[in-house]
Amino acid sequence: MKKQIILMALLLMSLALSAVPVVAAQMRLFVADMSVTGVQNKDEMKTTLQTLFASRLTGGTVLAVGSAAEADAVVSGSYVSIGKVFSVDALAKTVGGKTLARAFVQGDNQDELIPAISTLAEKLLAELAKVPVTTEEKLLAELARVPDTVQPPRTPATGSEINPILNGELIKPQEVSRNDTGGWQSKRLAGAASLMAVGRTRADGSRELFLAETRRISYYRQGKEMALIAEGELAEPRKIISLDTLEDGVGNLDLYVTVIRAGELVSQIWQVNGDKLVQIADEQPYYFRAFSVAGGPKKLFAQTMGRGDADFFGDVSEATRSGKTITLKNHIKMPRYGNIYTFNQFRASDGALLTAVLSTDNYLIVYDENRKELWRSNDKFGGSELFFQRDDSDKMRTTGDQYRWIFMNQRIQVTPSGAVVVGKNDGFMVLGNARTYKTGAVYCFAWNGSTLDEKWHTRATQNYMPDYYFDAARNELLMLQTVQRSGMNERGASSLTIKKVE
Amino acid sequence: MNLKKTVAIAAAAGALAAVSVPAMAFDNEFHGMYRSFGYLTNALSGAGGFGLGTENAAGKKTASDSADKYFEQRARIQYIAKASDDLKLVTHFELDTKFGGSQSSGKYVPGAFTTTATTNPSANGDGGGLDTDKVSLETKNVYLDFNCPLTGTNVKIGAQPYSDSMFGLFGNFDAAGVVLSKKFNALSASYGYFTVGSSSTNGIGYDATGKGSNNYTQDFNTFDVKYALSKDLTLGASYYLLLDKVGTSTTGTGSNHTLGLNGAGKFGPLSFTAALGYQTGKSNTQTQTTSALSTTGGYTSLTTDATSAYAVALATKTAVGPGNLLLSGLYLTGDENGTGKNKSWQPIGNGVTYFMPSNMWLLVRNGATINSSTAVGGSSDITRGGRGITGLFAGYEGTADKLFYNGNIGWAQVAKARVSATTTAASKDLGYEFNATVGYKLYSNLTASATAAYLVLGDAYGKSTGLILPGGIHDASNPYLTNIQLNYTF
Repeated sequence: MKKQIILMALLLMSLALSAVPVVAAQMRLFVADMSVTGVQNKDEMKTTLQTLFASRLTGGTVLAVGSAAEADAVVSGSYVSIGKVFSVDALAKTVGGKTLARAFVQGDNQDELIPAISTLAEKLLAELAKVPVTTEEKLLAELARVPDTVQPPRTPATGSEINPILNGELIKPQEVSRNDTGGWQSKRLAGAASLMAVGRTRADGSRELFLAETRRISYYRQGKEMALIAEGELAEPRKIISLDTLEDGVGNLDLYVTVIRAGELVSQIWQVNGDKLVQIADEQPYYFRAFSVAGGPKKLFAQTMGRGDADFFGDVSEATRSGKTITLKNHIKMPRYGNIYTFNQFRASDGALLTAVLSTDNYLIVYDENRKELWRSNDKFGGSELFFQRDDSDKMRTTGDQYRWIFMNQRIQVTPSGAVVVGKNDGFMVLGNARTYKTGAVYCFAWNGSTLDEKWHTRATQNYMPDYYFDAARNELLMLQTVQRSGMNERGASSLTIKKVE
Repeated sequence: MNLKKTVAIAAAAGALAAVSVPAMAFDNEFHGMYRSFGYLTNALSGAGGFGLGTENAAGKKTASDSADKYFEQRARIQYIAKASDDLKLVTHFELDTKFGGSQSSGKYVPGAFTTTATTNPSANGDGGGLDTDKVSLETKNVYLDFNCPLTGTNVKIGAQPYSDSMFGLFGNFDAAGVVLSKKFNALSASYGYFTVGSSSTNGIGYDATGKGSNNYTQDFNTFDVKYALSKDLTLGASYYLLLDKVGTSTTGTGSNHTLGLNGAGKFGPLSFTAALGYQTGKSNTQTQTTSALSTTGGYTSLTTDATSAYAVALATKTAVGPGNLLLSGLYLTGDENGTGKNKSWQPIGNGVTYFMPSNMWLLVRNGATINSSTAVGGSSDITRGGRGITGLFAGYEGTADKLFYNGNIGWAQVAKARVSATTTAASKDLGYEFNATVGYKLYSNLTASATAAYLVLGDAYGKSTGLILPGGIHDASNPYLTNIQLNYTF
């Protein structure tokens, strides 16, 4: 009886003390790691799901906290994907391990994932609301937190005194734990640019940057902010499919703009003249690309277009410009899938010159000097929404399309140290010629004699990454992102992220 | 083991199997299209026909000249199971539907369509009727596509698409066969073998004398070479041999030889494609409507009279202003009487010839058409029963951001007016067509467009007196169509 009276008294006291908080205080939930099955990028998926779920659980009477130690309940979950169908299950338990609520959602495709997480959060919150919060449980929970020995009141901790948070209990951007540190983010840039080219570094330290939309070239200077200096626009019905820069021998910066008109090459050459863009040549029958082959000095290369289905014809050649005339020399034979935009070369440790190519299915393939395949990746890289079309009437009866779609791809860069850098886009909707990428990342590899070993990769962006550039001189990675696609009457918008790579 | 455990194990095994698919390194590739047309026309019916109407004596429209309004759609799904870059299985399916269901004829209707069935809505065969659940899936292609590991030769075996090297004037079709192709630097070569027809009586097993069904087939052999002389000029040659053994027992083996030269080039702003064809040999007269060379002449003695026919076609595209000027022409020889030496160009079959560069809708069928894929006369046979054709076509196409447009004019006549013993032909003139299309690219893969086409009918189809072409009527009104098209390809 005495025990009962004491217990009653304790309960009454706790009720009296905690009456208001029980009604009005937020329930503190900690979303623990979620298990992921059936997808490729498990680590990223875990983090993404954890972040999404935590943010959607927060609000009203629930607060998602950063550790189990400060939580009233811990939510764990699992994500299982079989084919396109997925299921996300969540289980809420008290810190003592008692099950409070359980909920699940499923979807037919990945487009439904984010809405499904919101639905799951709502379901779980509804289930939690049904759980009677017994005073006994609250009391036991409180008692569980009371230390065995009386502690003096804590004074606010200084930064150095804050205990390190255990790994996995804090959802944080992954870039901290990856190889890229620091960074710069542009403001929203008008126009959904599909191409980016880097020019000279000016005396004030700013960098010349060029972005291209379907028919528009924008000249920026990137200092503390992106300053739009000039724009140039091409006439209908032209489409820009490549944008490259190269300094001529006397310090002028040339822009090589590869242009398609009605399935034929009508490329242009522009030049930066002070704060203006000036066109100096037109109707050039070449694909242009200025880049560093095997990490060497940046040079201009060109390739031609053939008849019929020969979208890329002949060898890739080194090109030099004299006025409006392009001269080709030093031809490079392409291996299978190789064309001016999908290849680069690097030297192996034994001095062999190997060729890396992104295949049409976006596998990274390495060929030896005799163009024989040595290695190919198991994962897919590359991926671009940029394409051009050529007449394909002979196949129209079968394909239903008068045109053949030729997709451009992410370019392969090779650094002076021989590292192979390649972009990668992922998306829920990549089906034949219908491509809508959602995230992008950049990967760096090194050849170990038998395979390309991954050295680092960036955290996936939250947007499609149409283009990237690794500035080896500054050790900076420039990632162009499409923050809004162009619409019926809108140019869309882009942003530029620059990351320091260490 | 109780049922629950059994179900759980089965489910786990199924899940494992499903999850393990990516580990098998199969790439799943999908392509396809969806296209719908909303028509307002006095010519098309949505069931494959092309009807000409007349006005009455007072110049008023008659029932035969009334306009029809209907919607139709086509969906295609292509699934490619790719084991590697060198091995894949290609499957391609098609679903055609007329809104509201099929009519009493046309390709929608599977099997025979009886008079009784036309009065029964449940007989709709295309899934366009109420509740839609009809069998309407057509198999278009199923073939294996692989590269020989020893020679590097590409092999395609199975029911596959094939197009000749002369704009599809001889044939652009799907058929079951084998195609071998290989590239040697600038030279590419291919050989194909197809079985395109078989006897209706001896098509399976052995006949009474022990001869196998292969003695009663139509075997189509193709040889194609193309050589890229430079980036701006490619020349090619082709030889198509049709060995026709269907009529062996009565008329002997027919052999149709089609020789061709083709080229594609670019000179400044002008690009062109050209083809020349010559046909010789002997053809059987056929009774099977699905057989090759069955409908292009109506001859009675082709096994004894050699064929000698020609085809010439040219298409150019020139960059002018904000768009392109399109010019094209074709000439297929025809035969004036259907007896003696056969001078008519013979496509491999009825309904498998195209001339896409014409950009016509009523005079020559348009490449974008789906279920209503026909032209004046009600035939997709471009030779009009072996009479040949002479056609000239001009157009202009352009774009303005996401807007696209084109306008075309075309004229055509049969190459030879067929005469009979008692009647002379009314005319060779098929008429002039004017058409225009305006469209908008809603998304990169989805376009919406509107088209209007009008044909000033020539006397060959609509003169008041004389022998007019099959499919024509005396005093016919000019045919027209308008359509709204939604087109999604991926």
